Amino acid sequence: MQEESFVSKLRELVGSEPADESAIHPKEWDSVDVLDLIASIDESFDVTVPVNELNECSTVGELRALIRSVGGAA
Amino acid sequence: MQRDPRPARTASVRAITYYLPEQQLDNQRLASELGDWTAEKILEKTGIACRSIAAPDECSSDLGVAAAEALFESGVCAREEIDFLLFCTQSPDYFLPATACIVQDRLGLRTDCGALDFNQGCSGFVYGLALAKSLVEGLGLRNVLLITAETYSKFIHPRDRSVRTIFGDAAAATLIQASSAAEEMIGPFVFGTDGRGAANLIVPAGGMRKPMSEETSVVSIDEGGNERSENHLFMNGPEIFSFTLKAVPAAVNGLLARAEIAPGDVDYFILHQANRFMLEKLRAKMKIDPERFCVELESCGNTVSSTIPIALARSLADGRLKSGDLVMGVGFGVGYSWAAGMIRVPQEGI
Repeated sequence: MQEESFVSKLRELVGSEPADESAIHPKEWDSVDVLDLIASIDESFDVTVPVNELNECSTVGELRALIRSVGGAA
Repeated sequence: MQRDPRPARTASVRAITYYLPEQQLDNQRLASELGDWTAEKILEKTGIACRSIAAPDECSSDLGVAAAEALFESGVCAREEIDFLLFCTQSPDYFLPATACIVQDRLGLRTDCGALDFNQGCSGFVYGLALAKSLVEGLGLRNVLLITAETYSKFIHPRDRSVRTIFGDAAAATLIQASSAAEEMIGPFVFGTDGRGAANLIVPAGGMRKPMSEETSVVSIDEGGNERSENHLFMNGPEIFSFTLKAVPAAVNGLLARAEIAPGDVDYFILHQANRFMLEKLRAKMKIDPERFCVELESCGNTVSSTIPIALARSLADGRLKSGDLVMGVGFGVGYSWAAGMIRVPQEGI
């Protein structure tokens, strides 16, 4: 349940139920979507991720790994 | 031995006035100039319907003088009574002299009045209150005039929607006066600085590090389609937002601890009015009721160091705030720099 906000935002961005292999394209997202995702990561895992590294993530799995690398239980 | 009556030495906010330049930049005009966003979308994303923009020949000193003249016209204090002028700006009239000196002359303040500029942005008002309190309670001055004034619009490329939709020009004048109040009326404060964020909200060229040149004037288009040169304001919104999510709740909690009060003891939270999205996320994270949380930027945008005094003045004018209320002000942004402080509305009002 802790991930609810994060998963719900990902579902909106990916357009389907997000799996680790689901592709993401942060550089093409609307700026407010990026802010929303940052806020959802903060809410779900109580960490903030480096934005330049977030921009380089191409799958949900990579994003989860990034969240774990800054101490979040993703 | 006779005991002295309690000296009037408790700093208190006594008056706030502000000035918004005449020229209005509304979302319809932005939508027609920027193309891809509708007026409704701009309002939805930023919470801002309209911004005031300084005229080409209108500088921070002009805005600041207009705000201060409104304060003197209110009769709360005569200009001859001002002992010190604090002028907060990042868009000064000149590299030198200090804008405060120009403003001292234009306002007709005494020549034995102290005057200095300080360069802070969104944290500037809270910093200014702390400095003013120190001047009153530490040095025994009677009247300190704090002016916050910015013309960020002059730094903004017209085709950079990331900043053009957000920032408006304004100035606010705040009178901090010695009173005989028995309780603390301004403060305590907490401060924060993290210069690692300097590059995330910056005008890269035009100072001594990188003087304006042909090279710095070259306009490029970023991934989001925004245009700017190095002479223009750059804001990395997501980085600023990440910083804010960490720094602001920590500052709020730090100040509550320092003031030895509970969140419920604060009547009203006035955070720097960055944009509605950021304010709403911060409010949700800190679990503050909407009724006790100020959102006041629809008609003037993010006016940098003037957002908190403008929000204070408007909240007092429409009854959201009343005598005796305890307000927490929190400024955060460019630097990175942040500060939070308590303000008690005096019984005689502001």
